[in-house]
Amino acid sequence: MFNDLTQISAAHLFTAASALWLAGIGLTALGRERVKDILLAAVLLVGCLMALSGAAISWNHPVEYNQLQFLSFGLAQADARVDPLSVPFIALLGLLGAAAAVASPSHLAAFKEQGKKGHYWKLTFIFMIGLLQVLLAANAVAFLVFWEIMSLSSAALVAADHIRHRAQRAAFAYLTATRISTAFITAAFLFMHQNTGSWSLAAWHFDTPESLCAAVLLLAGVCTKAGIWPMHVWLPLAYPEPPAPTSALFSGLVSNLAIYLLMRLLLAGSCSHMIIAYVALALGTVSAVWGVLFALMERDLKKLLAYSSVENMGIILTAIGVAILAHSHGLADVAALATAGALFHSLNHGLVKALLFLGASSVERAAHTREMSALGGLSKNLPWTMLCFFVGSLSICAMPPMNCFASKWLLYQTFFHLSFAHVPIMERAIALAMVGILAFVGALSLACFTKAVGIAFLGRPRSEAAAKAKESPSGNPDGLILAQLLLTVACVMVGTSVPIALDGLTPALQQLTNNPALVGSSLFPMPLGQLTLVGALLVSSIYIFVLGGRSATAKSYITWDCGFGPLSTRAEETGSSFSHPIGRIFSQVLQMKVSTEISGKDRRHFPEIVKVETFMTPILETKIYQPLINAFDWLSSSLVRLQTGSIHIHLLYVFLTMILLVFLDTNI
Amino acid sequence: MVLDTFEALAMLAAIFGILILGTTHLRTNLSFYSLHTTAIAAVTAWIANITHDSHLYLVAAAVFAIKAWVIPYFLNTVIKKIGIGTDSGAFIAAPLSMHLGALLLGLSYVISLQIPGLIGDPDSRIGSTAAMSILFSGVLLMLTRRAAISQIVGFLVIENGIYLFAVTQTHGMPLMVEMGLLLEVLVAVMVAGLLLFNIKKSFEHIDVSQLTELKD
Repeated sequence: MFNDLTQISAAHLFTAASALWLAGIGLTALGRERVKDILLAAVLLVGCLMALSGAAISWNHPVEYNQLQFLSFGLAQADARVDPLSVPFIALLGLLGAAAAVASPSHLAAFKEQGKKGHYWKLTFIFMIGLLQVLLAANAVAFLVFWEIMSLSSAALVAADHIRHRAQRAAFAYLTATRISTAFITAAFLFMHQNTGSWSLAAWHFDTPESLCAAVLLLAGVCTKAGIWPMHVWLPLAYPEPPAPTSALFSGLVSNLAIYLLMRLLLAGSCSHMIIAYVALALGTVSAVWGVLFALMERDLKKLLAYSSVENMGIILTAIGVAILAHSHGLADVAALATAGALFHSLNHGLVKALLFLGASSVERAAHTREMSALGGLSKNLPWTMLCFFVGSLSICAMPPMNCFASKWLLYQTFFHLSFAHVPIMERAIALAMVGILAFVGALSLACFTKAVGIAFLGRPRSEAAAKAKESPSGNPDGLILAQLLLTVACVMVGTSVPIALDGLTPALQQLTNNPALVGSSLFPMPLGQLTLVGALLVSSIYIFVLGGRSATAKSYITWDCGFGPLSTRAEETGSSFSHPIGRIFSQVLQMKVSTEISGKDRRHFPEIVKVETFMTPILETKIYQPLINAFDWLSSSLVRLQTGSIHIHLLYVFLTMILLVFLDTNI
Repeated sequence: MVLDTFEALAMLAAIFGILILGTTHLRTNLSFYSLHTTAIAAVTAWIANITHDSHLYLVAAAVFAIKAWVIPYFLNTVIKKIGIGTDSGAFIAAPLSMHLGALLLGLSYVISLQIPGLIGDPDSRIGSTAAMSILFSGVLLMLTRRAAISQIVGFLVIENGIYLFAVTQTHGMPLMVEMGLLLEVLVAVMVAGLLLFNIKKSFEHIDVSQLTELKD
């Protein structure tokens, strides 16, 4: 009885949230500007809370319903299914949606004159409906429909600032990527329908030889959407462009949904193709290293975060690869660790990346630029943003006791376990190498976020705008800051209560690994909360009793002064100089060239002008994608010549086609 | 080979179709077109006689009235009003294109031997040969002539070919379909005729080969 009641109420909650957001689109036509923004934010927030409570109700009780059955898509109805795997993602959606709702009014207040608010709200509501329904979709047809709604509305949001050339380019690149991804995924779905005769996602199993083709297509589609190397080029273009609240949703959910699809089909569908595992492992590794290297060299704060997403998506993909590998070797413990690592890290990464993007948006709003060479010294003017961004950076660098520490720890455990398992020696070697690569990526990502925080927030302001930056137009913390604080608190809470969080994920892990005996918290035996408490007490007692006594003699310097005393703005460390040594080491990959030109009468001892230029050519874009685009351009301009405009030639085409068709059908 | 009456009539229609190709004089073209359509109407009537299908008589009468009388009459008026008697030139000289049409008649026979649905049905072979030959003649007319009026005649000939194919293979489509098609052709020709006036008024000629703006 209770179970029935739960099912009905959870289903009603999800449908009501979608309906509320749909009504929100209608509400955009009404009301006065300022009041309307707050009203619509409330609508968004209430919908998110409904989704959250729906997720909470159905956390341990899978629900199937078809309240949207009037939406018949020809091949199948819009069936919905809430199972343990989708529930954590719905919770993430609710949380990020709530943060976006809190941040929206203050974001829109800054753009009073643009008159684009109506579009912002409409698109955001459509985007939210798409996201929620994709997570709820039980069959492939409904999934694809809502996937498209989500993709297209998010592309429109990327193009929100479409007057700028940069946004146009980003929207175009994103649209191309999402078209390719949908094409691959649709092909994979059709293949699986051919194999199984069912549209239900839960009925698809990837353990037969004929499912290999579908699995490959699916992997290609998902990699394009998730921004895995070499299909990641759209990601650094598109992630920085949407409006601030949307960028949180966008960075936290869009790529994660691709990973969700991969987990739902390949992991829960017990994929047993070794080739998929190896490809996932290889692509994941390359994108992790590639992403972190480019993130480190990046000068644009938001692009840095986008490249960091490439890195994290790569890490998640390696975990999924290992999970498939371990599953087909029958190594239940490794499979459990890898699955838990992938799932937990994708959730954590979504949370943290949303937080960091909100922080970067706040910086952009305050200083009117994202170039790190024009930022600096923001910590005094933007203390709240600094705090949240710092916590987010700690988390994404996998510093204990933050949430990503736990998921990265699970990944290290996976590779260590795999290297001691009874598998071919080659795979053990790969696993051991992966530990090293993971450590390398971790170290570089630490450097990368040291740069992000250190250059943007510490030191002296490098530009007038950075010096005059204010936390918000009124000077007080507003919605954008509150949203960041909300996500920061969520990060810290998850980080300090990892066993509880993993216990919450237990049903999802059981579903993914088909192992009903699995308990989430047993994978992570560290009492992180208690350790944190002890650590915090230890650090504070050291500070009070050991360092505190000498605090009178401490001198305070600006961060990049290196103890020499005050340096001028122009002499202090810049983002480029910070990452230069690593750029030198990897100059082959990064195609980095430095040219120094010294001129003056006595050039050697008293140079008058020293000109240093650093060039970086993105190798993938210039060597592979540009020739491809050129070839495509050439082909289209050649094809246009067919269209002569002469009626007779066009008639000839018709005639020839007719002849061809006749000859095709007969055997002449 | 002894031909049935309706087969002989169909071949006659095909030969008239080829004769249209033989001249650039527009009024002669229209006369041949009229004869050609009369032959097709006769084929329809003969098939009605064989199958005792009374609605086909109606169709035959309508084809004769509209396609063999009203349309040529209308186009004749248009020619008179525009004041252009002959086609300004053909891409392939008229006698040559007529001979090409005769060759295509042979090709049509070869093709109709090969059409999978017809292989087991020798009765309909001559009918389909004639229909295909008419189709080719119409296409050739549209492809090689410059005057816009020849394009209209070519289109009408193609339409006749399709109609003949349908009527010889299926022994007549439902009355509503036939009437709909006839009305459509009539309207198409009316619109094309009115368009001709406008082309003449705007460009001072009706030479289609100079209308090349149809591109990006």
